[in-house]
Amino acid sequence: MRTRIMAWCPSPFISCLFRWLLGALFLYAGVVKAADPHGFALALYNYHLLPGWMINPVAIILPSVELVVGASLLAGIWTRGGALLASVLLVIFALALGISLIRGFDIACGCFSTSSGAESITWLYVVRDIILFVMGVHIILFDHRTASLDLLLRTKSR
Amino acid sequence: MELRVKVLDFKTSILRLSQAIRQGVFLVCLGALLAAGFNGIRPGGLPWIGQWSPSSVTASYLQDLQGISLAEAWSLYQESKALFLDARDPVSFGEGHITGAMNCPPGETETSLEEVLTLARSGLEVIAYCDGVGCSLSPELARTLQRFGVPSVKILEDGWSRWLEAGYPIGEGG
Repeated sequence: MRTRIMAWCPSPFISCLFRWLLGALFLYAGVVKAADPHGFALALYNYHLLPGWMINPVAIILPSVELVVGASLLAGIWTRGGALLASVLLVIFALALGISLIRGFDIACGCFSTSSGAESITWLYVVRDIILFVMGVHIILFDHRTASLDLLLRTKSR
Repeated sequence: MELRVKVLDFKTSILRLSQAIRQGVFLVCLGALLAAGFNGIRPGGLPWIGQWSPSSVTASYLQDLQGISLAEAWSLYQESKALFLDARDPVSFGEGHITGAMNCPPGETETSLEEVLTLARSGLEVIAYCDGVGCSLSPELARTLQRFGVPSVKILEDGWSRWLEAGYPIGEGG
């Protein structure tokens, strides 16, 4: 079974490509949110999913976690941990978007911009997060440490 | 032989997953530490505990404009003493709006100005709303209308979401 799955994902370059793509996206998202914590807190509040006391702590911590995940994936260090965290976050984001869309909210995503005047959320945002989630799972299962710091450190220590 | 390979594969997958969980937990801790440090030293950092009740949020974002609470807006709606202005774009308005509301995006006030002025002068309370806290459309609309002579325009901050959440009547279409 695994051999069959591997046949679908033979190239280490695919997981490397996914790693860089996810890494760059998370790094960018983290920088945008870290630059405007007030705007991001507002975006979080607009989802009406978190209790008031959780909004500021999440608005403070989440951008840094995204930065760390982005750096981990781009550099290829602790790649599986970074990919797992990215996947978990993407599931949470997709759920939050889906719930808000079902509830009929017409709010800004807060994903790559903290402006409240940004484009409203649509189901395309959920599809985007699901595609990125699949990339994350692919990295966890099939990453070959191509062009990664993990590989470099391992080679040096031998 | 095949079974042994499968067991080995399963074990490898479990090992990879547990390694991923360990690394993930470490990355979260690292991120939280960085966040705490950065937020502590940056000017204008966010307080860890914030005021996020609708009334406090409304007060801090409306500045010179007058807000209205959901309860007050609902009460005026029930007494048919309110004119609701939906400041969102026509597509969002078509997908759903407060029953009886007029679509009035800030850039297109000229078309509905006469009607709004007449209704406002007849004694209706003009209430503008859009969606999301910090949404600039309804304050922008309120300022424009007041410039054109509408005596008072109140803002129902985060109006659409809160109206929906409360289960109050909504309409669809143009």
